Amino acid sequence: MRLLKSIRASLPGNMPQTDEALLAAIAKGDLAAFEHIHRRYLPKLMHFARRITGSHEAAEEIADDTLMVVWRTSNRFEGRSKPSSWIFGIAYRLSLKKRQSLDRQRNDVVLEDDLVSDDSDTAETYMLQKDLNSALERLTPELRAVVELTYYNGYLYTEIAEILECPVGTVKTRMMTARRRLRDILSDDAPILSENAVA
Amino acid sequence: MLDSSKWRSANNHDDVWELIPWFVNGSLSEAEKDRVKQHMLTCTDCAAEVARQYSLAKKVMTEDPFDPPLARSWSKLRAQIKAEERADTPRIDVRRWFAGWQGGIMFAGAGLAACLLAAVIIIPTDNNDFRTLTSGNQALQNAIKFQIKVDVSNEKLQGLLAEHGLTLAGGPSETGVYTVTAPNDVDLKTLSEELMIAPEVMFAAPVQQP
Repeated sequence: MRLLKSIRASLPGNMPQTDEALLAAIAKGDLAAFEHIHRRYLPKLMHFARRITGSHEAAEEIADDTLMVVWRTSNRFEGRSKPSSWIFGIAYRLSLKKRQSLDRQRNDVVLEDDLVSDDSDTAETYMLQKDLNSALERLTPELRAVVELTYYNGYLYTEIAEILECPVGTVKTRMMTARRRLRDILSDDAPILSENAVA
Repeated sequence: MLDSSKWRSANNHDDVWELIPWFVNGSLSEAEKDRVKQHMLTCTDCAAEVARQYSLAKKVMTEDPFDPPLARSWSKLRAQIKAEERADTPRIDVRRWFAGWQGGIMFAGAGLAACLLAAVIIIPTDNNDFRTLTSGNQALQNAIKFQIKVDVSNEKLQGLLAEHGLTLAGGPSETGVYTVTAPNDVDLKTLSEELMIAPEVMFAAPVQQP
């Protein structure tokens, strides 16, 4: 009977299903609960991190690092926000850090390239790309995060404010700016503008 | 003169315009949803913007799908967790081991101290200047030195002294030895043996006169 109970308990269908319950189990060192969270969040985290960093490799690294932070610190989750907001908040901060280091690397490469060639067509070719990916790429990471959290993850502005650790007004302003910029970029007569400021 | 109805309408338009992305993703409260819907009935700009944002949302949701490397990521994380557990294991074990044996170690330490004390007293010496723990001084007459267990309370110690008519003269020393004086007519050797029978006492012996 006890054996049957233990088998039943180990079945995925019998795992605690809510994020709160899973985090509580992880805090006690439950690896099965962590696997559940991993399966649930890895795709979303990777998608989000890829939007912020623009790199698939970096996104995988960030998603893994985020989940390791969840494993190590789930006992500190106090339930003041939704578990998903807490997890995406971790991913957002890691993504911004990664983005900064990637930007530094890219700037180094650009400087080196400038010494050997003058590829004047690159900027023009880039401006002709009208797909959404390139349009989003032209937004700052902070603006992209708001668009991504709204349309890919379906969060309300108050939840996004929790994730980004900023006022609700800032979220709304960033979204307004992102909408305006995307409309400009995606329209046929898009003016060539430098990257917009962040609220 | 400011037309208040126009001002309210413009204000409402701005508020609704701001809420459109969250109307599109379906996360607004019912009250906010109704407000956006009501406004759209009369505002073509907002209705058009809702359509544009629906289109954008659809693109964001479907853009560039990929297969997340679930198995690879899980293997990596599990290996990392195991490695961290291995790194933590020795530290935790030592602490737990020490916590588990703390009482035993203290008891063994006290026993060792008692054995050393006994050895010092029992081993004969020809050197008259050599002084043991129970070596007395000129001023202390009819005295006994004894050692009690570490967990004996002060009340028990006082009761023990009173029971045998002893007066505390000194102690405890660094090794936990007390010095007491007995009435003049008492045989110190017999009294020491009686003290040794008491469960609280680990060792007792008359102070040797120089």
